[in-house]
Amino acid sequence: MTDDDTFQLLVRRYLDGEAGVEEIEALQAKLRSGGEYRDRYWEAVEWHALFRQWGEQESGRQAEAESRRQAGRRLLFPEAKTEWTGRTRMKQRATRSSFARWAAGISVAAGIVAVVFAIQWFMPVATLTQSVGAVWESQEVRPGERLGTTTLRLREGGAVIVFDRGARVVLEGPAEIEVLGDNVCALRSGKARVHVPESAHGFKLQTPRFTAVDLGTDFGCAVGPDGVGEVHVFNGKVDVEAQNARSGRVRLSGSEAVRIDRDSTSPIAAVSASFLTEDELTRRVLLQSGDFLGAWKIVSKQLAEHPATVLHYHFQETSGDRVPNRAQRAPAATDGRAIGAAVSEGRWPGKGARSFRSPDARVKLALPGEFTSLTLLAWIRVDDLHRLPNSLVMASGESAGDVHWFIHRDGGPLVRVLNSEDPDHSVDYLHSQPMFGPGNFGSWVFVACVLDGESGAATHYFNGERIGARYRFVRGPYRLAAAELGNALMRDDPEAGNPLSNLDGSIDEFAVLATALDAEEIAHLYELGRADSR
Amino acid sequence: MKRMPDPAEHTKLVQQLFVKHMIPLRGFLLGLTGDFNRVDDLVQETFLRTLEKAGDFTEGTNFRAWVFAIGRFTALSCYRDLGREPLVFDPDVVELLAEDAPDFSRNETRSRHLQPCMEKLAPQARRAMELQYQKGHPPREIASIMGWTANAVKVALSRARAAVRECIERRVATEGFR
Repeated sequence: MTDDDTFQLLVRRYLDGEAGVEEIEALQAKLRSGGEYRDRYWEAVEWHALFRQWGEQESGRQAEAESRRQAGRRLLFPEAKTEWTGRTRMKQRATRSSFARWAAGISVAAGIVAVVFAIQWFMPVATLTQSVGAVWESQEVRPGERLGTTTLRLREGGAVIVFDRGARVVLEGPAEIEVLGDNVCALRSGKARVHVPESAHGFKLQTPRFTAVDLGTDFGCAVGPDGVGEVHVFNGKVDVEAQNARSGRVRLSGSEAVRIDRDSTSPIAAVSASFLTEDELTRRVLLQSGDFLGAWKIVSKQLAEHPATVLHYHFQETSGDRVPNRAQRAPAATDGRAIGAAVSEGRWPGKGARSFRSPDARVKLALPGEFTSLTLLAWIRVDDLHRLPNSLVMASGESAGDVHWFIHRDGGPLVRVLNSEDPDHSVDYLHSQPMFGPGNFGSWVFVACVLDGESGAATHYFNGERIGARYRFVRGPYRLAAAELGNALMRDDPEAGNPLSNLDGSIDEFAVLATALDAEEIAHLYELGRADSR
Repeated sequence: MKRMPDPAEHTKLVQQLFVKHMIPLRGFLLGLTGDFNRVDDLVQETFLRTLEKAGDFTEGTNFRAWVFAIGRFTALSCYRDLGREPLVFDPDVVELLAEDAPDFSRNETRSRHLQPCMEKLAPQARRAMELQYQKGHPPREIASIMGWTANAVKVALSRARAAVRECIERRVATEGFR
């Protein structure tokens, strides 16, 4: 038996109440001898305490109803000789009269009754799972803390409370919320976004002027200083019962919202963006702890799940030549194939990328179909510029609607699309101001190209800012049927003779959306993904 | 402008805080006493002492550390009070342990996964755990209740604890990943 085994056995026998005098002496000798023994002892105690907690909660669950009826009514007088029934039922041993003895020496306020009762039956019903930038009103509530029926006052920041039945509430400060049970709460003020899984259907949120009952799944609630409130339903159904005389119960479905004040309930627009989501809070928590990769994963998943995303390569694959299309709505056979493009490092440690510095490096891809509008997004790092097109994504050949996106040797992004209306196959292009040069070689930047077929405009963005646009651009439809990332297919055409059209740098994320994103959306995407995230 | 706390309200706050930190306090006292029943007594005694000293606590400071200190003082005072059984460990060991004690915040995270992980245990293993941790029986009593040898009970409990521990640790490690 190793020294550790011997020690663990002593601890076990002590905690089981079976250790003899000599064993206890041996255990104490070890505990005196070094901090590492005390650490291991405490680790065993932590688990011992945790199992005991489970045991007591089991008893509590079983005996709760009856004991509440009995124990709560009894007043504790200094000379009381009666045993406290709740406690004896749990332990089945003679309780000491010591408690009564101490109580005799201290004046007992009426409030003690409720608290002493609470000591035995403190039943947590929810957990605070996360918080970011949280400033609490009086005492701090830490992530992981279990909550019983209690009022929480969040001065600023965000926090997530998960109720034991499953409902998840994202609270945005300043806000005051009261946890009332494992599936009910009261929002006294502030904003909360609630997600209710099936196990928690019927989750009730009370406010000064109304009560909302969720029938599944997502809604937001805001309560202003005078009790005036709003309920925005994003998904599913919510019953809202207002206290004002006019309205009775209103059932709201997805994308419906109401404002409730003293006299009336009126419909308003449902605005999802006003309510902090758990994903966004988690992202901020990760950023704060320096986990840029973790924060990025959340954003990346949102982009892959965006309804308009048809192609999303995140380059986290560490080997092989397949580049899977991560878009949720990925059409079949749209995975890419990397040739000569080595796996390299992206924006942060742990972020993957592909390097296209080798002259023949490319990722072949085929995106079938024609698109009324197209948005191309890429996080790239340019290490050098050569005189031929520094390719970002280039469609094959010269079919009408084919899109070529690259960086001109002068450092300016350029997009060209074949004009299908012109019999001579002329080309429309947008060549924007030089943005790449020795000043930012080696830096990660976000480039975007939006081709809006409905308005006939092409726009370039660099790090979230518009750097150029062209109106009366060819309206498409746009195509990327057979294309290459980081290089140009012209190379295969003996007539064309363009041997070195690769991007002399790396790409760590690339996406194609079948829609025209606006400037605000592009700016937001930049903020979420920038390498110097804060 | 911060107003002076009303003493009655301050006491109420201290009571609420005590309730909030009671479970970690019990874990701490369990480490000092080793006995489930002694712990309950100590918790109640600590509670009364906490109320007596409520005025010493400054709102906004670390309540847990403060109440753990009161708990430690309460445990050690066993050795001075006549008519009270001293703890099993000698006072110097109790002091050393109190200094090196964790704050039990890890258990708060773990407790979220207790129910689902305990439910995975086989019925007999779970029964043994109930007898030990819910009813408070030592292994040899569990052996006679279940009709097993004491050794079989210890092995079953050891395996059950290890299984639940592994389940909880795994779930804690993957929390947040959907």
